[in-house]
Amino acid sequence: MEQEKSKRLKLAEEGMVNHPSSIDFIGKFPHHENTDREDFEFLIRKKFETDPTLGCTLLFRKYYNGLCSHAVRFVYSKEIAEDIVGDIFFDFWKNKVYEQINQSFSAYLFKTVRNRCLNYLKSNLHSTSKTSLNEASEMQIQDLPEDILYQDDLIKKINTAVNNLPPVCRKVFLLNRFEGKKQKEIAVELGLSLRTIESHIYKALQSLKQVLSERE
Amino acid sequence: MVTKSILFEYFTGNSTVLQKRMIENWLENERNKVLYYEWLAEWEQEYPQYIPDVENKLDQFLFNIDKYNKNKLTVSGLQHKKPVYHIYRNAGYVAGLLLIIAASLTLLNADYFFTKNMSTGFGEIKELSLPDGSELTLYSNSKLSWNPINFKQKRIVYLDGEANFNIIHKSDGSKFRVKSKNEVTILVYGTEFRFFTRERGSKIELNKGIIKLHYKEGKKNKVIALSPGEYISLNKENKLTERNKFNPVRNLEIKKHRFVFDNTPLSELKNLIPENFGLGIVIPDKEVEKLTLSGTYTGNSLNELINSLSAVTGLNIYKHHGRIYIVPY
Repeated sequence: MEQEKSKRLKLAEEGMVNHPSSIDFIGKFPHHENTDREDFEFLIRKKFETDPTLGCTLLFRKYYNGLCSHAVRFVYSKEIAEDIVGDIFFDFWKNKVYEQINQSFSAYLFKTVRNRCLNYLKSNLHSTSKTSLNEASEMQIQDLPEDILYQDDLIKKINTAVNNLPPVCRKVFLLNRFEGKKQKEIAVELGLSLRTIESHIYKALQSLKQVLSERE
Repeated sequence: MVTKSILFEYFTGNSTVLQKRMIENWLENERNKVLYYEWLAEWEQEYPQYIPDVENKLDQFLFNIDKYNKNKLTVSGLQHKKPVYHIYRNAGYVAGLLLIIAASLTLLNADYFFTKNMSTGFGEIKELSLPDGSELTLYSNSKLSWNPINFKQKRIVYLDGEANFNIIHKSDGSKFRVKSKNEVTILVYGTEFRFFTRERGSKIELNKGIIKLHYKEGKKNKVIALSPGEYISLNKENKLTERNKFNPVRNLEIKKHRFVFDNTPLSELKNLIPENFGLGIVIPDKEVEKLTLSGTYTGNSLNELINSLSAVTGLNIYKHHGRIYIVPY
């Protein structure tokens, strides 16, 4: 058993073994401390060489939830978040983006989801719309440290803005935007007039636009 | 050095100004930037905002991929692939003639005055609405009947052939039943499904909702409940032969002929073509019969199907005296 292990290790070090079962073992070797994530990404990289669709499926299962959860912090709508993430995966497969990634799939996906969310906000909620980024250049997106911190700050501000809405207004906004319910349904559910619902949603969107136009 | 806990606290929004400055400096390093996104991924997994339905969305994603690849039917077991295109002009006339025959047969049916009948000719697809507002698509060479007097009390229809149902859910909870000659009854609560029932067997694909399937296997009564995204097949003797998942079908696709091939031997065309287009099929070479097809064909006519088939298989496929011949070049 011991012998078998060391044999496999040796082969692994020489890069001879790429069978998945050997990967677990490499991870436990003291001076080669791979995390589970690194093992997973390594495995996926191997899959992409033979079966890109399977590779995408595995990435999808692993990161779809996290990506949607992150996107929803920006766009506050399940539907939009899931559309954005779905599009990312489809482009990832169609444009063979996986062939260009040499560092980390999860890093690429999370960097991209943030960019797409920002683009979405800019073109849909921003009052003074700026030029949107070209999707083809996603690999080369410049993410300067201050940009990253700005994005995190923006998430916080959006959250605060929603939180500071008057209770009924916030409830209506979340039902409509986050849950995707129709204005009519909400009117019936809360026993309010359609006009009241409309004005609550308008008000909530105005305060989001306010947040987005605040960048110095 | 920024640790994972510092970054997690920062994501949660509990960082001090100094910690933020530290993170900003740390991010100057490209390697750290990658680490930042990777830890962000882990953090989102641990503290999600909500839980999406991954499997459902994955099905959709795979479906989109499939659709993107759709025009590329693939064939395996063949050495030479040679795209060939044929144009046939007569299929329309044949379908029309057969339609007239089918329609006149319907008129001669003795039950005509008591039962409402709807049928389609070979290669024809019809969209129907039932009195309760339910909708259905009746595929090629199929027949649907119901009794309009009883329909209000008991929603029962009889199917021979293949149809896609979109059944309205009734607020009083009353069920909808689809019966077939093979002693298969589908019990429906409001749902979308496709039902194939011909002499050689049955197939049910459930798109949405819940259905219960009652059938007789020999002398035994059997019941199967299907969940969305599942399909089952029964053979001639009502024996369960297949139970599996399928990719959900979009509305646009429902209204067209759709044939799914999954390592399906060409010999299967001997069932499909006569059933749907009323033409006989001849494959003289046993080796050719064994070739398998994979992919989904969606389209409007027999000619389109023949063209796609001959393009992917590189076989010579032509019509002659009302029969289709498949031969190697």
